[in-house]
Amino acid sequence: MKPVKIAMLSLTHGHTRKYYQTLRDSPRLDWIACSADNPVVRDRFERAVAGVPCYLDPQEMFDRHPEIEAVVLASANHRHLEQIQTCVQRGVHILSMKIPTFDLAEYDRMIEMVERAGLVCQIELELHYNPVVHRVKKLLEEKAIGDLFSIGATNITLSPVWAFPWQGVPEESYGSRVPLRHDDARFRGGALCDHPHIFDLLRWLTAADFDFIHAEVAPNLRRDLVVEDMLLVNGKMTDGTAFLLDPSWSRLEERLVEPGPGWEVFPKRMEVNLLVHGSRGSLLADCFGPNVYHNGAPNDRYTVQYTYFDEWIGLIDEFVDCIRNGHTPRINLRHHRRTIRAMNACYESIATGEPVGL
Amino acid sequence: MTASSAPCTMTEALDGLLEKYGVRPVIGWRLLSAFEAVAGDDWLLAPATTIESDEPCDRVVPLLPWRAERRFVELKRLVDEKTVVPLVMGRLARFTDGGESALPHELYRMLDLCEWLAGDRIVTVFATITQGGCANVLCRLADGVVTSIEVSGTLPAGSEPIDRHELIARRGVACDRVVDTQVPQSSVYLLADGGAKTYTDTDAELIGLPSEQVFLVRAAYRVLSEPELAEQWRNRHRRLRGLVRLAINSDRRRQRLAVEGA
Repeated sequence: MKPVKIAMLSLTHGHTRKYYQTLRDSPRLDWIACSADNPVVRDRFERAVAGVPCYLDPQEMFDRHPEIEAVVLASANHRHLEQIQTCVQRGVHILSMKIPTFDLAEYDRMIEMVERAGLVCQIELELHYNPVVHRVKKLLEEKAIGDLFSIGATNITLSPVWAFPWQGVPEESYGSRVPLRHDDARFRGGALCDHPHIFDLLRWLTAADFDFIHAEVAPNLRRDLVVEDMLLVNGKMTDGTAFLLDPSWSRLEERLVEPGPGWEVFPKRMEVNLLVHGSRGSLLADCFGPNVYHNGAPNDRYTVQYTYFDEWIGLIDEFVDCIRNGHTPRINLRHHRRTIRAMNACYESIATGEPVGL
Repeated sequence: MTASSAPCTMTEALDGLLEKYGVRPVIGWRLLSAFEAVAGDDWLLAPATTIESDEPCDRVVPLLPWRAERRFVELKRLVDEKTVVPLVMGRLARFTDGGESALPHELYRMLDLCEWLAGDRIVTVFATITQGGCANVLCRLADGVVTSIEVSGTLPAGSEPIDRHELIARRGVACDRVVDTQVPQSSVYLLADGGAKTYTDTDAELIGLPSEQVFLVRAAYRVLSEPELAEQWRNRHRRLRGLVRLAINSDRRRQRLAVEGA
């Protein structure tokens, strides 16, 4: 298969670094160029990756490299619409970060533009390529625990805002400045916006959609954030499965401007665990474990060292297959809209104090 | 009492503790593993979850045996002594083989832990409940702490409960489970003919009794040592049964419900 000539935009998303190795190593990709949002980001990139030109103006990048066929939108959420417009104008396929936009009118414009242009637009939800999740999915399909009754899922992490400041800015993360509640000084755009995966997983594992959803926001762990960092969600799916989700930034971090060793204050910086109950038993899964542990440099703190599975390989393989063979990504814009709608419903529930029917 | 003179029954164990520490109960007592009406004037000390009345008579003392578990005592100490402070969120989960019939009892226990560990009162509840005794409850406490309660009765018959209790604060996280694990650990693992066996003995004075009985004896001992606790726990029983009903009604009405008087 002819490698896809690919580029990256912005380089300000938390997942940016995770693409570097895959873009370099994948035989299905030819990494052409990058554009960075600012000189600081470009310097960081140039320290991490050699031999890939990095521009400060995306238009210049596209003009100089008309061979680019696809891009990774590694950018803040509020940049996605403008960047998708650019891609559509240039006929470039899109691998979008996990939140295309929370504004559903804007979202529908994205769908319309991409579909009219006949482009591939895949949403990056890497848990679809996680081997533990695949095992869970298979076991549930085989009815290993019978009929589903309830699913609990955590997607808890440290807060990335110190390294990726846009994730703490309501306008750049949520897309606008909307108070959480009339009596709350905080705004939409925090931990919830960082953690769509478990909402998507619920749909995937149950093959159902959200029936109703309820959310409670707790006081912030980090008092200096203007967005929420601690919340819990429950509700039911249309097949009757109950759920409980924790999408919080509940693991404290050192406030590093560049992620690296010593980031963790709590020993484990990220967890996606599943607790599934059915008519014949229960299933517990840790999607990123087991791991190894150390208490060495730089802070001599007990720390979980992840034995990551590389979900990005499968994700890129699907993206390339869709481009070369005309397939539609599993997580396309149209499919993902209901997940975004459910996440918005969490904010509505927080604002009203009531569950929201979907 | 030591391991060499291990008690055989809960009553013997409780008698032994009372004698050893010179506690003279103000009234006669009977320790029951499950509540039953017994004639006479003795106090009837029984697990609260087996007392199916909001207003049991004055002779009945609802016991909250989980409050005698060392891990909960230490979790509460971490909160009370402000080792982890201030609380922001709680995450409580317990899965058993109890099926649907165990749901009210499990909710009762968890709602008590929710308030007791945090030292605060629940003001609102939103619950979703399904078959298999599965319930996911979100509780808001008076000072804004949000706590999830996740219970299920879907484990295979004969399974040991799997549980986890985590308290998250601005300074520190307290939890009865090891970081990066999914299931409880044991003190002793015996791998021999007949398969694997585990043991977790936590009480040297009552060694030999099953854990659930140890906690019940300790709870009864507390009440007999501090008789004023009997009335407190009767009041507590009334509140907790009300909270269980509120959670069940929240699911039925699909509404977040406020606790009366909150």
